[in-house]
Amino acid sequence: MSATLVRIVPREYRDSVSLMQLSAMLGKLPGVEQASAVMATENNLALLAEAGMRVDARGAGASDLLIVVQGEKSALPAAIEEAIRNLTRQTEDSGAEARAALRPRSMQMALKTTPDANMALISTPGDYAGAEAMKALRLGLNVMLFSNNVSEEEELLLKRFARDADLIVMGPDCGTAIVNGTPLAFANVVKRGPIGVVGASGTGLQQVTVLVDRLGSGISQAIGTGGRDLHREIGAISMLKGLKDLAADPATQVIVLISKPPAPEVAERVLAEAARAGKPVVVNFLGTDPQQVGRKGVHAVKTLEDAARAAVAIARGEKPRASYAEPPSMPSALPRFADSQRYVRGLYSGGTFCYEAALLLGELLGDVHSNTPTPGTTELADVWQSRQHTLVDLGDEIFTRGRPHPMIDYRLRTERIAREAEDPETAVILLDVVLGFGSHMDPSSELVPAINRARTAASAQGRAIAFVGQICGTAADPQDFARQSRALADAGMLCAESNAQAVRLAAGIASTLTR
Amino acid sequence: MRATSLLFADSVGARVPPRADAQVHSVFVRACNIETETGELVTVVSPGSGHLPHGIRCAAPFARLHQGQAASLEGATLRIHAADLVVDLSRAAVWHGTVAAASPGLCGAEVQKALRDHAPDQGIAPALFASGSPHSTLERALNARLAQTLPALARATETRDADAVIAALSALVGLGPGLTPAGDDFIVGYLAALWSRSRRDPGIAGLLHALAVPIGQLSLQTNAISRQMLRDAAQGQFAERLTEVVQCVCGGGDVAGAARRALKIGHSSGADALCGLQFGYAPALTAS
Repeated sequence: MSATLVRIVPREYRDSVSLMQLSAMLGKLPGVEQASAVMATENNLALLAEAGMRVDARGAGASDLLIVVQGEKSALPAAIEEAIRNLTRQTEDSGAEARAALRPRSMQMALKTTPDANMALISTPGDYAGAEAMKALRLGLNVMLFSNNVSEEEELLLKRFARDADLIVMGPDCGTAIVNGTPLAFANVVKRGPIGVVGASGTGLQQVTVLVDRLGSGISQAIGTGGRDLHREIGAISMLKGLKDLAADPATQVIVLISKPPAPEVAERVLAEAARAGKPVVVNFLGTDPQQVGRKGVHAVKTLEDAARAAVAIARGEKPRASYAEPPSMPSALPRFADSQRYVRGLYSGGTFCYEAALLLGELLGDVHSNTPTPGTTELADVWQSRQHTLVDLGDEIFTRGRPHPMIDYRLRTERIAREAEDPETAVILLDVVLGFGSHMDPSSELVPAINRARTAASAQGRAIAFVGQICGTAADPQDFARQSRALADAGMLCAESNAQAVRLAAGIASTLTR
Repeated sequence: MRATSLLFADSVGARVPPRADAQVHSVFVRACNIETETGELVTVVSPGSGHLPHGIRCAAPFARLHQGQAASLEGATLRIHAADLVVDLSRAAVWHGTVAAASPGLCGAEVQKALRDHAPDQGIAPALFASGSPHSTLERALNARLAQTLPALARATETRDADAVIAALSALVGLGPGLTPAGDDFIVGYLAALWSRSRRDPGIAGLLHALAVPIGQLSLQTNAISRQMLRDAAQGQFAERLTEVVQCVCGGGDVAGAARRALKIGHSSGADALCGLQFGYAPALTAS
């Protein structure tokens, strides 16, 4: 005769697939005729009774899980135990601990509960961010100031205060950092290692740290300074502090400094300190001549990729090369472009990627327009309308007002891809795909359909478009780098190792077209 | 150094409360629920998921979260203190989960076809479309319950009899397999269809008005996750995957594609909700 055994598991929430799998697994155990794992609602208890499985579930509520097995009496206890073993990852201990914890409502309270904390991350509207940062500094905390819209005067005040207290202010508008192995804000999951980076550029930091990881080395610390730190008015206070700290850090063997072009006198001060760091320093001041920057102890490079490669070479005891630039590996077959197609259209989510691309493409092709113009390129008159070779930083404030950043929300970019595909002059669409914390969790799910639609639209008008891009990410990033690469490559995107390589490849393709 | 992870939500549901003390209620591989002191449930989901009326979408490190951790919503920020997690909501798009208006006479036949072709062999779809014989006595009991309840629900809907609708729904709430029991998912889909019809049918609009409070009471008979879903549905707010299907049904889009995406919710939750949706568009037709 059949028996029934029941176990109530209080407040146990498992997704439906797990519950179904659990029921199926129990139903296959020897001696079990049928089994069910359902929420212990009144209707389910009634349903079990209607099914002939009268169970004593006194005390059970709708939020409890009910495990019911029916079959040979002797087989049922083992089946229930098997079910309980299957319900892994119990979280009651940590939950109880958290409930007991006092919730801090101020930095002072937080410091009482975590007295060893020495850094505050501040993300409030810009109007309040300066005051909060000053509070943190007065409490002896280093500050990562994610907020933007903090005035340059306030930034200077905060950084001077920090300098006098031997603290650092990372920011304002500091979007990326890796501190003691923990990625903060928009950052990638990289291996720890001997290379420390200080950067006044978010995606610049991401590119260098990602490439260092891919080259088999790792990052000790990655310190963001905010984009204005090397302005004349600020005087690189945070970069100099970061440089000093990395020079004193026993885990750091090589230091990398990254910035868009600094004020000349600020650059000179930073380089003088770099030369005195007592460790090799690789410098990438985008848009400056490496020969003028380099000096004893300072290896200057032209691109973010070269910075990563030189740093890894030095960390391995090798002599770094002046440049790692190589001619692009052109694909064996190019699309059949129409006569009208001539231009590269770069649609960037990373501001520094766009800036670096403008520098390189300006040198390689000329006639480059951008909303982040560089020496040798022209400011784009209408940011919504491409002209000749065009590189657009879609993270610019004009595009992000009232909508998420394009590293999170791909709509703006997919719409622009469609528009560029409609333009008979577009030959190459150049993209950056940024992975890591903070970024879109599945960029290929947005880009692949957009690429396919663009291809179809162009094809209907007798044209073909080449898509070139680089994926700034690591194997450990949450988006699954391999899957993203495969999906984009399958969609026909030519995936380069770095931003610089992607730009050279795009330029190589464009230069084959009749002018 | 203790480091806090700062994340950015890309969407926040219109019904997420702006300020609340809360705690982590339940954690899954790609989602977690945060329960406020007033009993509302906010669901944090990974970016691959659809938008939710009581949801926040961001790439949260769910593995670091545990039931009972203290949380708070304040100043466009979600904090989960013990996990050192801060989610910035200030840049997130607001999700309004309203459904498109259905034209009179719409019967949702394409939804029915998608269910026949793709629904799993569990939950309500097999009973509704007689696809295969029941595997167990429990499934037989579920089928029997549905065979008794759905015709009554169809009659009550067509006569706009709110009391009779509630009587029928009380036999479905919290019923069947799944974390959100199949009956609850069915009710959500059913309500989505009614909201869609109500835009051009004042009788249905009146029925929904009369159902709002009783459904809130009915929701106490199921678990907190289902309860929030039912309460949102009673207010005309639904998950993106369901609104997509409604949009396609009403606007002539790719119903099969949208239905296939909806069917991926849970094991049978998506299918159960689509059963409810199809039933809500054509109660008499579906129940017969």
